[in-house]
Amino acid sequence: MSEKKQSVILQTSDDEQFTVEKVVAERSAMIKSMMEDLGDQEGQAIPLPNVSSSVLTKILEYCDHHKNEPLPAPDANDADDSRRKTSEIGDWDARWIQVDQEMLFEIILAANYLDIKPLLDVGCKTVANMIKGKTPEEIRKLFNITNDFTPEEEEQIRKENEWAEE
Amino acid sequence: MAPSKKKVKIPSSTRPRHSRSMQAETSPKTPTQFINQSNTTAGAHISHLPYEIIDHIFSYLVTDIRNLLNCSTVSRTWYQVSSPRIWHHLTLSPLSSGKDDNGQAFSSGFMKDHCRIATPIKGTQYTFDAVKKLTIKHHDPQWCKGQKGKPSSFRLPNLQVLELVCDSTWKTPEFHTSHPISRTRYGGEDCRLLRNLYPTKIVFRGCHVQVNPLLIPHLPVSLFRHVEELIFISSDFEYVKPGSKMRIGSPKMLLNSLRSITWIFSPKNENKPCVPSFVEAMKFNAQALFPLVFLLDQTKHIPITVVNPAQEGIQPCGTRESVHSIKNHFFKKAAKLGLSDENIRDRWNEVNLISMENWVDDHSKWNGILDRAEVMNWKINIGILSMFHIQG
Repeated sequence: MSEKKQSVILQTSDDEQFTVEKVVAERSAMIKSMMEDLGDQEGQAIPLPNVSSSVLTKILEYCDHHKNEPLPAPDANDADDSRRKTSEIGDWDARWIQVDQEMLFEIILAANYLDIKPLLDVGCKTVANMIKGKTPEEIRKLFNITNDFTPEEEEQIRKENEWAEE
Repeated sequence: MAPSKKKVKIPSSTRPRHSRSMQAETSPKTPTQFINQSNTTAGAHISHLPYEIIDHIFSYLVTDIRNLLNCSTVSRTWYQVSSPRIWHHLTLSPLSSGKDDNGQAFSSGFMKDHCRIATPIKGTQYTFDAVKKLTIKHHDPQWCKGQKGKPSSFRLPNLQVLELVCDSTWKTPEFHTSHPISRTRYGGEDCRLLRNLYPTKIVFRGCHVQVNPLLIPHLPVSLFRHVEELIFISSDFEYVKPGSKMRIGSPKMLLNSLRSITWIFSPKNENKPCVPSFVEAMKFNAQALFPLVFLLDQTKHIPITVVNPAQEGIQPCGTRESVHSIKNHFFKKAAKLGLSDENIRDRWNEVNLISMENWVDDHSKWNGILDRAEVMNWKINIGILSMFHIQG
């Protein structure tokens, strides 16, 4: 196999092209299946209209770090659920995902679009850990969320929740 | 806000090919430039995340309900997304809190909760739509009365599993009819509390002879309309009540959807004395199971699985002997009723006696054993794993 066949070209939403090792790009189940569809068409760039170059750069860093780990099974939903019980994040991942909120959400959206399950988990766990122990008002402030409840609705939900807390 | 400016080291093979992109990587972008360049994910805000991702995030918060409850109060969207995880399993258990805020006895606290379900306030319907499993740990005919002008039954449109804990605190539904006071008060009507519920699976826990639900009239007929699976769980300290008499009612409920019945004798409870004698256990098997197997038209052709028919307390009698005793007992009784041998054998073929794995010395003596996956399945559906010991 030639050197070229070991890599793939990815084209981002801002029209930048990245030449990426196949083993790195394969972390994305979506790119993996597209590569399979494209077959041997050399030099054909895979368009990623939902991912910007800055986000892809960041994500490729993650994929490169994890490229030697086994890929999760495509139907690993059950395993997902058991994995979800813990919100712990690996050391490297935790350092890697120390980014501002905008980047964090873009990583999550891109991980979802590119279908990189472990990365989506890391992103969601990070947000979950940000939420933990915070009051609703603190959460709203943290993420800049508008409170769109009427005062009556809010009161009603608070009452309901008291009940659930028992 | 600009994306992370942290200098990124990319392995040579992943480096962008064009010099243009190299430049883009090294020169930090202003927010506007950035927005222009990446159209769909520009200025990503938490509100851009689709519902399933928000739910994915919430899935890491289930270990502490308070975190989820806080999320539900953040915004309408978050309320909507978090409700299924918060209200998936609703338990009505006045005993858990003992007394309500005002120091009133628990039953009035229950009334309050009950009324909240019965008459949900507009805008909070998600709560009740989200309930897939309902556990009722205490039942008193009083609750079926409801409050003046308010319905006493409630609607949980997506209910799948109804779990009724019929232990000593449960005033059995028969109370509605057999108790002289309640008879005048309720006119022998069906249990109103359960009147508008249509589960596909009912789990009766703490069953003993007198709380064999199929033998008790006046559970609402409608309750069983969509039931596919019936599970009875007894524990050894509950099921033998010396001197208790079996009631053979003739249940009128249609069990058209019913596909299986499972009767589980849960292992010995450490805090309670176990069954003193093998004979007692056999008596119970005969009393509770015999009608299901041979007498009731509705269950005649439904496969019945009995888990742990011989209890730990009677293990010295041996497993093979237990199965034989149950079988002999049943056959004799059925013959007495005039059933033909063929009939009896056909019916018995629908009965499967199995044991929890580590209960028996020799697995080959049993018709079958439960494997780990099955036990896990119970855990999920019934939440009784702690009662069982699983062997790897």
